[in-house]
Amino acid sequence: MKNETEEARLESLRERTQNLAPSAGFGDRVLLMVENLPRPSRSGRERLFALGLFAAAAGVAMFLSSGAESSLDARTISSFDVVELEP
Amino acid sequence: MAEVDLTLAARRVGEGRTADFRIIVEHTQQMLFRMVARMMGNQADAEDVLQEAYVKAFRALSEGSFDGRSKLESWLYQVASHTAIDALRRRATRRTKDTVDIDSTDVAQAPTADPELALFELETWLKDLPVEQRAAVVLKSIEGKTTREVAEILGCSEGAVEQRLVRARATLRRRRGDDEERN
Repeated sequence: MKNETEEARLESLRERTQNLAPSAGFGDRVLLMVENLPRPSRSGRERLFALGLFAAAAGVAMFLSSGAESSLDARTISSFDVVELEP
Repeated sequence: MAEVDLTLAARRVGEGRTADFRIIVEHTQQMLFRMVARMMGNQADAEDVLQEAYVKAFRALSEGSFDGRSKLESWLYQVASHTAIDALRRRATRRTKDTVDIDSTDVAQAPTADPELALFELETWLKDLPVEQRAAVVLKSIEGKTTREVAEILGCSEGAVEQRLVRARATLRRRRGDDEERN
């Protein structure tokens, strides 16, 4: 019986609070707030793109430097060959 | 009123069309505000909490975190109820630290309009319940959610929800008995 009373009171409070609504302009305030938020997804994507570009540039640089190194090695070996052959 | 496709609006927000978020807010704010106000016990806190919840939802939609498996309204309901529960926990921590007599402060601000008065009565009645019990009472007995839905929102088992409801009702009954003895 007492339990019913608690439920009845909750039901009455439910009905009486059914028409609650936010104050006028609430939606505008929310929109204003979200419009001024930084965009983590966009900047994240931009950061990812920049990282990819950097990695590609680093790869190209490594490839070019290894090519230059091997041609230098070849020149060194060939100069040794020349030294050995001359006498 | 024409049916509005909130899932489409959510997808557009994910594509960077912020203005479409207005459609989502306009179609969900009253339902969510009612729930948050019942949780928080006053309209000012409810607006702050709901605003925070919408910001969280907007961020999640912009980052593509909403997978569309559940209805957007149900997902927003979960975001808002989690935000309200976090706010109630913060408030409970503040109240234990605070030396100001909150009862006398509340009485001084007692409202006059009926929905506000009902909210005030609800707050006065539920304020001594632990946050989890209060949330269970509001979601189950006032919002009309099923035990399973309440368990999903609170992140616990259905048994735990039932246990919280039993304890909450016992406290409320005891409190009612005390009030009647005083009167």
